[in-house]
Amino acid sequence: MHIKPSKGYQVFRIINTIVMILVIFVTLYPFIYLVAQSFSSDVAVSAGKVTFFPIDFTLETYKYILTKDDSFFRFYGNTIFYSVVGTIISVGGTAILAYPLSKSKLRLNKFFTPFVVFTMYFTGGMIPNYILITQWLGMGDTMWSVILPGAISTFNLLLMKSFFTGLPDELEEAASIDGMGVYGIFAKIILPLSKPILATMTLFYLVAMWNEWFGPFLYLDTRDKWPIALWVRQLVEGANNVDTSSTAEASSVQATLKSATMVLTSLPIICVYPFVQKYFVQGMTMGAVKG
Amino acid sequence: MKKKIVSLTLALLMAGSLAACGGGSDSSSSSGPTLSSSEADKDLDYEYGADVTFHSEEPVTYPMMFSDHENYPYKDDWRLWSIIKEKANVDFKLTTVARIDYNDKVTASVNSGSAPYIIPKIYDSKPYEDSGQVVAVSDWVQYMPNYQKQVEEWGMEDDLKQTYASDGKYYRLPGMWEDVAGGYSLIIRKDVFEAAGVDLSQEATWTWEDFYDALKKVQDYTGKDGVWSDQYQLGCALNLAANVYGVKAGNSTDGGDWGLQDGMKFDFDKNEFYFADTTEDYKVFLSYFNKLYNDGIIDPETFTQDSQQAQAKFFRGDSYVLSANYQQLSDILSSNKMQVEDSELYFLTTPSGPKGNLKVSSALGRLENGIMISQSALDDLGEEGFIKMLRFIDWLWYSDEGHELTQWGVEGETYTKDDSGNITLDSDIYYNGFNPGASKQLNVDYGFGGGVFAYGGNTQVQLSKFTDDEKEWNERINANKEDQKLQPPVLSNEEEKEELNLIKVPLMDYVNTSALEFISGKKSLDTDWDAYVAECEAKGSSRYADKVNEIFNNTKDILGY
Repeated sequence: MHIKPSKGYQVFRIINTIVMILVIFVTLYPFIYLVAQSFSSDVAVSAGKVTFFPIDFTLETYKYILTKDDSFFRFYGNTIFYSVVGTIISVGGTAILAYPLSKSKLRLNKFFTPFVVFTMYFTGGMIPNYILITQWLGMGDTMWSVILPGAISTFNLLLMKSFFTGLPDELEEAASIDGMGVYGIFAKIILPLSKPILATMTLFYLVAMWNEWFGPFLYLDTRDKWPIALWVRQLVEGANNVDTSSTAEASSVQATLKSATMVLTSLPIICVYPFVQKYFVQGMTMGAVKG
Repeated sequence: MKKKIVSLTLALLMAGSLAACGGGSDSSSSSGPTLSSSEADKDLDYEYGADVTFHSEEPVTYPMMFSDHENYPYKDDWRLWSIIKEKANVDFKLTTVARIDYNDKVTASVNSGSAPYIIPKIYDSKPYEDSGQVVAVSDWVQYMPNYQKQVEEWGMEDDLKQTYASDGKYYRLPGMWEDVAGGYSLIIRKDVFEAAGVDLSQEATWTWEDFYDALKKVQDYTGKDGVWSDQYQLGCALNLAANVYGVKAGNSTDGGDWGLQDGMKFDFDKNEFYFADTTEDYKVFLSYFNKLYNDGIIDPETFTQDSQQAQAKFFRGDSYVLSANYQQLSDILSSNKMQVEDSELYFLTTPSGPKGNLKVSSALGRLENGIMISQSALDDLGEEGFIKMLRFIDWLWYSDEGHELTQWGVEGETYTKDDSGNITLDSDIYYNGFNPGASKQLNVDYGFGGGVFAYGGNTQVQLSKFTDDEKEWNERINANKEDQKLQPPVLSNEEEKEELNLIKVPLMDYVNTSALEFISGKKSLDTDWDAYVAECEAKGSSRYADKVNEIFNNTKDILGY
């Protein structure tokens, strides 16, 4: 039997749709604007004529970025490298630390957990960190200084820990009776069951690493090692930075160049979303409810 | 019990780390040179001297910070690096940082004690002076012959006093110009102004009132309101006018402090500072802009729009005045940004006011950004090695040869020079308005003319950087306007700085907000003025002036007043 929705519900649906369309528009518009700018001529952009569609359509900007010299590809390659290696290390490290912390019967757990949580609220500050990384650990100007300092995020760790806590103990007991050791249980039972949370973590870490500029800015000295985020920052922020001293050189980087670089930079990471989305939603709710 | 142990451990850890921070500057930071000049000249493995090319027999490498500009990003195959190597036998080991993040990285590396030896492109060394990680370079300049020569020949002593720290030393080797030039002014649409019947031939002697008359004509001719829609929320233009009205003004969200600073002006007759932004001069200044606003000449959006929006209006032909510097003008011209056909741009000189026809650019003095040297250079290289490095810096940044090299490159490769010393850039190379449309760029492809090396110098080097139009603009200024006297610096120590800052921030915030309210009519100059003065007083304007004068009186001897 078909139940006719009530008047109130119909009104709600209409209003809901309108509000959602507005929200989608507000979210999408900056990106549409960026894409439109990147295909327009610089003259049209600086006169403020571009809103939705490219004016004086041109591919010159993209051609310029991709063929001018190899710096775009070098920064891009660096970012891919940092992101992939960094994500593997981060996800692996988080899982390895979260698993023992999720076992409340382990004796030192109560001792270690506060130390882990402590880092969520307090940090050493920029200068002590800088000294630690560059002088004591000797990682200045290496890829490790980009990847390792933020490798394990406490928030993600706690998320993963509560996911592990939610898995039934009986599974592990059964495996252990069948003669499986701790590492076997972790690798063959726990991890395969944790695909949703692992996918979520991968996405979190990947996006964070892809956009990371502060660590590279602080620890890297050689320009060739920069990730693309730092380069984009230089282009975009440079234009917003006005120096009031008389002889300072203002930025003359074209607006179209900035937009095209931003489009090229954000495209791959946007493409990742659809593939992990089904895990993503699952992982978030599971971790939250059962925690 | 366990909880107590954990919290105790954490507390101890924190106390330990705090104590470690407090240790600080126990290094030999204040040690000046011990070598006499003859000792410093013994058994040298390098050549140096005034107007002598520095050359080291052994190859040397100096670590240096490098501020990377997005217009001409760093390349390791720039001719700049190879020519320095050929001439001086010196390499750099660079720490490359985007210019927008440069100061943050300098802060991190200086405060952690790991800064490279040479730290160029420093506009203000004050934040680093107390760290003990930066050499008081004024103790060492006697070993730098080219530097000494410039200071003496161009009479730079008074300018250098501007950079003194409270100990009477300076920590930064500033770039020096023989003459002041350049700066910000107003671009106008010449075609529209002339069509409206404005005579531009006497422009260099205009007062701001004359400029008002001209704008009025333009408004009548075009029949439009908002003929002046400015960038930087008017902050730049306010500063231009404030200089000739004897006040301090101009602060914008996207350009920072144009000239508002702490509102202090120096009275050279009484030899004391006073707070300028509650004076009658200031009232006159505000009423001028209020008049422009009430007549509809200034676009009300000026105070809220960002610079890109303001520029777009100018490019589209919706407004006819824009404050800018010459580089921005060249940029507009060379990349054909104007959307109006047959539009003609003209760069005004800054109008004059009640305090005279002054060069606004000279308020900043003849000093440029400069170089700090880290303490680690002295510790690692020893005194003799340190002096050698200073002499290399002396050659590259302060000799005429160095200026020409870093600005124009290699004679015969990138430029030619005639008998009277005039420099001509090769026609296939573009630089700052020269040779528009050329295939190569001096800064992008060769590394010359970049901000880290190429600044300061004698008048000839300075003029060589200008296109004919820019030269003409500077000549117009020099022929009509006078230099401003430099205000003495306030040599406050760390505690005094802190104390002053506590008053300054809320006070100047209020002054700036009120300025915009007075101009836009939200506050009335007739009825709200007294309340404004009283509020400034309550926020500490007089206390601030008293404190500044007290510091000034205590340090008068160092400054020679």
